[in-house]
Amino acid sequence: MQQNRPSNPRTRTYYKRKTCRFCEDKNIKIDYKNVGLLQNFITERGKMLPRRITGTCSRHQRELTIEIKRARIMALLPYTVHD
Amino acid sequence: MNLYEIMFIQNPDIGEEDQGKLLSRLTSTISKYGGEVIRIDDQGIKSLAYKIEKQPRGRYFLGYLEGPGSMIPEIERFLRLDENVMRFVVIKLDRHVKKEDLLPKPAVEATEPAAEPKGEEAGE
Repeated sequence: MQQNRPSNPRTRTYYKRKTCRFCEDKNIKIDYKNVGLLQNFITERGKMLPRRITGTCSRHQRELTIEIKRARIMALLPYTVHD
Repeated sequence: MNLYEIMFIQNPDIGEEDQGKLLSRLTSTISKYGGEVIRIDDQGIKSLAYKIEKQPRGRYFLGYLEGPGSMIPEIERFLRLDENVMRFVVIKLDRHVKKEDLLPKPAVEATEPAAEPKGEEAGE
């Protein structure tokens, strides 16, 4: 992709590579009871954030998905927030 | 034998008597099907993220069980039939979780309250 589309050196933007929070700190347990943690991975409307936004690795994103859904079942997190 | 985590939401309007009755019936259901209650904690009344059965609040319980997998359908059936249980979830815990970690530990807190805070401060 990069080779097909040479980027203009003046407009080129650099991104800091996002890293998975759960790989960096192995002590963080993804748990449906930890609502404060899960809230970092959902939008204000209650939707789950994609990996490309949060930088979570695929393995931990899978775990997050399960725990967020459990938290929703137990009414710890909303399915949706509407006006 | 497996370890399970169980969480359920109870109607907050029911009296203490009914609440105790529910817990004792749950415990007897579990033991009837070969399980053992490690502990069940009342986490108090919390507000729900959305209304369930038109209720904005619920009383949360969190418990840990040990027992064969065959007891799970029976526990779920019991919780589903009880009108005062608004929601429940039963989760099988990882193999590396030890039963000892789940036991209530009031003795540890009581014996060394003076030594603990120093260690924490130094760590941070």
